[in-house]
Amino acid sequence: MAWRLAFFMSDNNGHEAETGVNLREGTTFDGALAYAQALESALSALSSARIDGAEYKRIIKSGASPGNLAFADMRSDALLFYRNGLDFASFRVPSPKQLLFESSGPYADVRITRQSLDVSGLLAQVDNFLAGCLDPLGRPYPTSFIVGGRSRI
Amino acid sequence: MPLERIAAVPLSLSYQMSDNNGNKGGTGVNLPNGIGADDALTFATNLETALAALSNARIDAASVSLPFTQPATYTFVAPPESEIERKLLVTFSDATGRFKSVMSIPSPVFTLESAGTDIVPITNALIQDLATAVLTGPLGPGNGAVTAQGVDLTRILSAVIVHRARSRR
Repeated sequence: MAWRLAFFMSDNNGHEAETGVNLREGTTFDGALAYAQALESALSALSSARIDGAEYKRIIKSGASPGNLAFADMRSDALLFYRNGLDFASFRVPSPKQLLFESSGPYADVRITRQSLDVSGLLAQVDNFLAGCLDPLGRPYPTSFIVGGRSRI
Repeated sequence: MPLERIAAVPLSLSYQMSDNNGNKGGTGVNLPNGIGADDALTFATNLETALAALSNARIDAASVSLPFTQPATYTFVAPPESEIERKLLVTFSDATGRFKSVMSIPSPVFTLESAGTDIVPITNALIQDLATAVLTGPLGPGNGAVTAQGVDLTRILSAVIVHRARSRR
């Protein structure tokens, strides 16, 4: 599988198009940028379109085993909320597994708590799930799960 | 002005997911811009495993994306004659000629065209510059572009201009 270097271009009417090449496995991000700059120079001589930007992208076919597909429903989501001090962020899990949720009480099958995750043995994994990632504001994801629940049923 | 990579713009890591009823969707996070390409792939794989433990849905694919942006000094405005429906199709191949890759470049300049034909000679200086950039690139021979399957592209075969998907060849 290769990485795709794509250029986004547009004409004077704002109509958009794309062109690009595939780069080999192992090309660093800095190497891809150098490549993009060289190719941009060649493209700008050949084309009267504006080069709006570029993207270096890799699509990876999944190797993970799915959960119980019989219960999978992409119309159902859960949100996990994390906090570190004043930093607060959420992550959306499509088609969440039943074992994430409380199994009894008024919020059964709706709320996700540290207790419900502990019962299912997933607390440590959920706590550190997003370590090293950035939230939509570009801040490091907090690594302390506080509460979660269904956002769509 | 060349494209640039802005440290403040993160990498995008996203997962495409589906169920058995044809419903599709996904989720994702951002990764620090300073992360390396191999580390980004490792991150994607590890996070995918963790996500699979939380969801019943099938994870069809993951994608890692790094944007390159134009600097603020890039003020180029496409001229009135620009038209993205016109394409310059440049075909490259590997050494055997069995594996090909076509690069479709929108709005080619009119100076490429010769009267009576849509074929652009591959000896054209601008086409040769493109071929050098694609097949060799700044990383030198052996580090040029590849097909989607990872086969090295080593030569340029042809260049033709297509008008609204019609060729007058």
